[in-house]
Amino acid sequence: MKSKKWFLTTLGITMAVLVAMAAVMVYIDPYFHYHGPVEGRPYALYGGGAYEKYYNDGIGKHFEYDAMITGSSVTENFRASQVESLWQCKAVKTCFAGGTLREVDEHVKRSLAANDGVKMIIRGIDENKLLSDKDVMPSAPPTYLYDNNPLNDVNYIFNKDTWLTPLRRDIQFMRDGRSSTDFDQYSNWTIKATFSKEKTLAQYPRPDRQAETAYTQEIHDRIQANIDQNIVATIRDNPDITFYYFFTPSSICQWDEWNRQGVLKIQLEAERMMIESLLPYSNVKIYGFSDRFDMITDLDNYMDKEHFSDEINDRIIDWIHQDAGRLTKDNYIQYINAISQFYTSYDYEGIFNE
Amino acid sequence: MLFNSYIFIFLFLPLALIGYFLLNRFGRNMYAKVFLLVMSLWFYGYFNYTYLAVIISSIAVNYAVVYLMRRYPGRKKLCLAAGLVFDIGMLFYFKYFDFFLSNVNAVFNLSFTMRNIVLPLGISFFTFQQISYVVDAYHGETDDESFLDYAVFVTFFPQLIAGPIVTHDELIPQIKDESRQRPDYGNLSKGLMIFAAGMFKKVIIADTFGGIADWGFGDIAAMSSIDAFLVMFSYTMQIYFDFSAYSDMAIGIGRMFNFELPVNFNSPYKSYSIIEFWRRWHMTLTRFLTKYIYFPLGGSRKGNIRTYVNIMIVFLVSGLWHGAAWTFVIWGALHGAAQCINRAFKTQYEKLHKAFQWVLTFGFINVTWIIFRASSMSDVKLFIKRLLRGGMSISSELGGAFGLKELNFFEDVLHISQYTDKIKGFNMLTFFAVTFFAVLNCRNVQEQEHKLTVVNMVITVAALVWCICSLSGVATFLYFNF
Repeated sequence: MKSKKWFLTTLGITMAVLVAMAAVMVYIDPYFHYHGPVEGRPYALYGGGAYEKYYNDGIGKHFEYDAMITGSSVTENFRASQVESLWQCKAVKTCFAGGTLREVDEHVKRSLAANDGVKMIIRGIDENKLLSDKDVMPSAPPTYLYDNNPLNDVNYIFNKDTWLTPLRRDIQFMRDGRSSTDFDQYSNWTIKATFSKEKTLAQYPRPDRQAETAYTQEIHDRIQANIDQNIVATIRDNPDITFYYFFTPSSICQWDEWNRQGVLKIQLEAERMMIESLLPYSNVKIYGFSDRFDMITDLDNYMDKEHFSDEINDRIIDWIHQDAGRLTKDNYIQYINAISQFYTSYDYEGIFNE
Repeated sequence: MLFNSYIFIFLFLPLALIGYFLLNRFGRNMYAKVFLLVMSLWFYGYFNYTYLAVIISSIAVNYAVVYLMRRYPGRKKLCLAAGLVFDIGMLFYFKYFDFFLSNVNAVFNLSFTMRNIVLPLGISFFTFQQISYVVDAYHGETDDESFLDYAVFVTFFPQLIAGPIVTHDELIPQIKDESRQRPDYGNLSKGLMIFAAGMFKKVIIADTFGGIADWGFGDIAAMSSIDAFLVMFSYTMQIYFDFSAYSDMAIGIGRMFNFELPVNFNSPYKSYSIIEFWRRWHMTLTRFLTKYIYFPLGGSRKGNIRTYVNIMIVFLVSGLWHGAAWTFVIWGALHGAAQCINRAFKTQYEKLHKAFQWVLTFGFINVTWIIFRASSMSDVKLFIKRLLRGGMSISSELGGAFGLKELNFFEDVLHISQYTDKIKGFNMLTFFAVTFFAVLNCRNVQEQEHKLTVVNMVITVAALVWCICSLSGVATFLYFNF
């Protein structure tokens, strides 16, 4: 073959293949980066924590909904259908396994900016994340999906993982005529989990006892900055939306860990700061369930120190709907005192001696 | 900028080729060279533009030194000394100063603060390249080059950050050669073919081995013996495929510009001795060390003892060149010692069975790569212990570190996954076997004819598309609860 013909044909075929791939990707759009679901075409929300941060941005921007459930891995087992039936709304669930406060909050901000119809956000706040630096983000978020720069979409369009997993799964759903993944199933890991005291204790490497960390101004400022940037700002900037924020109820093993690490009192102080930071805003309702001591100390509700069963998820939604466990100006000091008293004097050795 | 990146493939390379040939076509060769220089500087400064000050000052000083040599022949030695002090000083400051300080602190129990100097990309390569130019100028082996030709030679982007270490007499005449200034479809085709093959070696093969090596060296204590063995082998394969792939891509891109770059790897794992290995591994570095260190020290002309001393010096320099840490020095020392032993017992060694020679050589290379890759000698000790601890099961984490998931897809398409799924680690072990077979049996870039056939076209297109789709992926998920 003549070299000119060989070179131009090779280049031409390569470009044709790439253009065809781009067309297929934009048409199916498994991460909903370009468009929302297409009527009559089922979609798969491929499970597994790694993919959530790829799907969630598109769901937040391009789905039609008025309620969003979000937070870290402990919120993944919520059922959107329960929220929909209780509040008579259309709900999506977009959680981030291992998500930091900043990661989740930025997702909420982007979703609200793209979607005028949102009325409520239900968000779990992990107590242990309050102490982190305000700017902590997980490694390598797919920012090319989050921005509006079409040039970096090459990372999405020509992405082997997207082709081999979510896009392929979409095609299988279409071919088999299956129904789309719903927001009860999406990211739900109940089926993989075992909830028992035995499992929880096996997953809990009890730390050595450390000296109590002094509560310094630096720690105070760090917690406040984290709360202000990653929780309060979005509430303040969206007065027409109701935010239902709750502390995710960790097990007694988590409290034992904080106690042995010498940060229990700082943790309690962080909770108090968050409550006080949110109470001035009328569009936020804040809930705490750490005073449900029977639930917290019953390790059969957990699979490790922080991940609770889907039954607890269901109960949390019911409690929020009934306004049970709500923290107000009138009762929050009583709540903080009650949990302080309980967790600072608890017989932690008893967990392991029974 | 990396060759294996979207910006390079979709924007930089096409722009560089079109701009260079278009300017030449309109008879603007000087503009074409300036364009190539600017593109090379963009390539170099893409990640960190402050690096540009380093490379530009290095080029300017070395050119000035050679200029002064010609202008003042009576002070050639002084100019040579000035050039060498500058080059070695730059390299010392940017690459070795913190290493030096940490050793001073350790030996004299002091506490000098580390400077945490950011290592400019490719400084070892372009510094050695320019040392060779200055030394050759001193010996009267260079022509009176223009600054533009010299700057294009040093910065020519395909060879800038990872070699091959190209010498002035190889590249500058080609830059000046008018017959090479028009696009040649034969070279464009062969260059594209070589580039695609190199990218396949890097993106599909080296990076897959790299995932396993990263897992193993990231948690050495967790490995069983078989894990440690596979991780050691994976790193041996990764470093070869990674480095040689980059050289291949450089050679391919060079070819597209009608420039021939020197071969850097010649199937090194086919070697039957360490002496042979170093004739096949990173050949342009060996050439540099031989010409500019080994020969000036006297080579093998000053008796056996001096020869062995000279070999050890060369390999200690080679070790340090690869990195500023004691692990690299020890790696270099071991290879130097192996060279000396190989040389001292050459007659006896050659009487050994070829298979035994190969196993001995390949085994030595594998074990010494552990030292090269480990972050400390205590990690090396732990790794060796893990190799010897026993335990023949492959960890599931190691299987998870094998990232070539498309093999499952191919198996599904071929309806053979029902069989392959029954064998634990089938894909990974097949990948190991196929690549190892290729390493020992396939021909090199320079040995292949690169015929412009339909089959090669299909292979090139497939390699390009497969690689382009492998440049981005779903980020590794390190959330350990699940």
